[in-house]
Formats: sequence, C-alpha cells, structure tokens
Amino acid sequence: MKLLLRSGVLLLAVQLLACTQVQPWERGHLARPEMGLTTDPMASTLRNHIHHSKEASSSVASGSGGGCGCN
Amino acid sequence: MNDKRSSTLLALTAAALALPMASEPAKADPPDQKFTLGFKQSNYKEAPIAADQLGLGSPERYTIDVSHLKFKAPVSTDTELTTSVIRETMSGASPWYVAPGADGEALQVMSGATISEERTELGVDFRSYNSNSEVTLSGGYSSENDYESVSFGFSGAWRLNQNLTTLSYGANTSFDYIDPSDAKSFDRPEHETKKRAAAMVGLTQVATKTTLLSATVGFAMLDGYLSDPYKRAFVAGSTVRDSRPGQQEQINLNLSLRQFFEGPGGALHADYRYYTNNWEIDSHTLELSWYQNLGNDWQLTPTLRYYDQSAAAFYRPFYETTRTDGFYSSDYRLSDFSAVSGQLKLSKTFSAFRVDLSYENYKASGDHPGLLEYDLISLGLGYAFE
Repeated sequence: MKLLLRSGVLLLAVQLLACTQVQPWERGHLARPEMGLTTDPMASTLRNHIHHSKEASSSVASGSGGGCGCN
Repeated sequence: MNDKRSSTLLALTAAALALPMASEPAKADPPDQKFTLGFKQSNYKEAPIAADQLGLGSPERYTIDVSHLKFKAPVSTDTELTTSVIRETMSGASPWYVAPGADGEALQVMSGATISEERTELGVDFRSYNSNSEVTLSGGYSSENDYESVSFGFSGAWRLNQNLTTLSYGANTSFDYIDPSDAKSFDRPEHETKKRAAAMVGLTQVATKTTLLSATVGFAMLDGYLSDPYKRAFVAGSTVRDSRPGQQEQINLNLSLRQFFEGPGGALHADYRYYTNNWEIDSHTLELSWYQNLGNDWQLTPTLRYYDQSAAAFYRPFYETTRTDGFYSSDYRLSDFSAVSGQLKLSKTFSAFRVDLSYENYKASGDHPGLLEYDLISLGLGYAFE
C-alpha cells in the first residue's frame, strides 16, 4: 500500500513539475528523434525480451507474450 | 506473502482493467502517413561457464540468432497497421541444477546434450488516432516446439493541457501452453498452462523546452505453471523438479527523464525502474544513455545499465533438507545478483534510409555459479516511403 501511495505521489509530482508553459513553437528540441521515450522500438523489444528471460523482473510496459525464454 | 497488499493490488488491477486497456506505452506522435520497413539482425552469445563453477556437462551456453522484420502501413488518414515477425534460432547447453562440491561450494550442472530449437513470433498492432487521443489494439503469437503463447493488448493515450501532458494507459493478457520435450524420460510435467493479466497507467510531461519527464506504474498477475520444466533442484542428496508457487503478483514503477543539451547537441536519457513481487524479489534498474549527434546525420550512443535484485523467498543454490511448503528452485534468475552492461551504438540517417550497428556486453555477479555473461551485436536497417 505504501508503494502505491508513493507511486501516486510521484505521478502527481511529475504533473506539478509542469510549472512553465512551453509554447508549441518552442518544442523543436523536444520533437527530435533522440528525445523520444523509446528511440528504437525494435531494439527495445529485443533487449526487453532478453532481460525478461534472464532476470526475475519485467515491466508491464514491455509487452505481453514473447515465449518461454526459459533456457 | 502479504495478504493486505495482495487485496489492494487485486482491487487496483481490477479498476485499471475496467479502463480501456494496452500492451506498450502509447506513442505521443501522430501517424505520419508513411510506410516504414525495419529489419534487425542480432547475435546473442553467452560466455562459457568457468571451469571452477562447473560441476558436470558442457560449459558452452546459448547462442541465439534473431531476425526481426517490421512493416508499418497507413490504413486511412487516421489509422495504421504494424506487423512484425521475429525468428530466433537457438543452440547450446542450459543450466540444469546446482550440486554441492567437495567443500560445500555450489557447482552448476549443465544439460548434457546441445539443445537446438527455433522460435517464431508474430505481432499485429492496429492504431487509431485523433487530435487529442489514440488507441492501439495488439495481438501476438509465439511458437516453439515445446511452448506456445497467445497475447492480446489494448493501449491508449490522451493528450491534455495543450499537448504538454500525455496520460497513457493499457492492459494486456497472455495465455501460454507448455509441453516440455522428453517429459517421461526426464521426469518433466507433460502439459501445463500459464495466464498473465497486466495493466499500466503513465503520465508524460513537458517540463521545459528541453526536458521531458515520465512516470509509469504497472501491475501484473500470473497464474498457473510458473516453474521451469527443464530445471531441477538438489534436495538432501537427490534431485527434484523445479517447483514454484502457482501465482505471482508484480508491481513496477518506471521513471524517465529526457534532457536535451543545446551546447553539445545531444540528449541524456535516464531511466529508473523499481520492481517488486510477492515471491519477495525486489529489483532496481538504472539505465543512462547519451545520444551524441556528430554531424552529417551520424549519431553515437553509449549506454550503461545497472541491475540489482534480491532472491526469491524459497530460492537456494541447493537444499540440505526438505521444505514444508514444497517449493524448490535453484534457478540463477531467482538468486540474489547484480548485473552491469555497457552498450555502444552508431547510427547514420540518409533522408529516408537509416542504418545502425550496436554492441553490448552484459555481466552478472553474485553467489550463483550459473550467472550470465553475454555479448549482443545488432545491425538495424530502416526505410520510410510514402
């Protein structure tokens, strides 16, 4: 429960950090490909599959399925 | 296991599932009405087990060649369809169980014969977009000779606050069917199934002209056969099947920063993930990347990743006595370990064409004798056209 509360607070904090209004014409740098949350989805798919197969952790955001990976 | 946390998790997951649901975080960009074709060829190679850690069997471990083809096509002015095929060819020996050596040290026993197998994965995403929101429907199918998996997902995003804020959400589910090879000869289960249901919610915020922040929380529940049919555990002088609880609940929290630096003309990516499950495994992952633009559309990206996890409550490298709960696993993936990896990627863009080459080395350290070291080399090609 404590973790969920902390997660909620963090999500709220991210929202509150928007203290400045960035106008559409000021977003040139933000629109650059290297500023994306995921820059190479195919590489992310591969690395997430390897980490999911070789470590105990996985993210919900990393997708579903993907096979056994149990060797 | 913590019952109070479990019930809270169940309630929250049920609430999240009531939302329209998703398989990966929604993209913030609108469909570009272009056809794109991507291909990535990768070679994954695990280092042999050191002689002083090996009890029996082959020291050689897995080598996997991965081919990944992805094609995106606009369907209408506000929809697009993405299809992908992944083909993996695997060979090598696999950790079997851990036995105590003459001085009580843990030694890894490997599978005797070299295993050869192939896996094919098919994926389809249908994405629909309007000025303030989008949804993506996903389906996936993965097949190996001993394992099949079917998955479905629904994800979406709302852009708010003059597109400064994006609220993303999603859920996915998968059904796995496990039919281990040579089940009777090696005392393995014959037919098993596993279900997974997951949901996530995230917030991405433009903080300044050069700063993007994101936070995501995910919940997942697994139910069914969560053991490894090919592993065994050494218990009081003999070996038994790997046997884990038939249920797992997971929570993960991801925080991301994207910061552009005008001086050097590069971007910093910082990603942190906290993960916990009710097998008492907690983990922390920190990944830092620097995207350096070099001129003439060349880009060099070094990445460092640090990972640390605690062990599952029932994990032991080997067991001196039997356990009352009947759970046994000596899988290195459930042990207490840390891992460091470094990656270097070079990419070049020619108007509609893109090529990249990357190399990564990963090395885990801890007490288990079967912990991994691997190298990953990838060559990627991309082409966009109208």
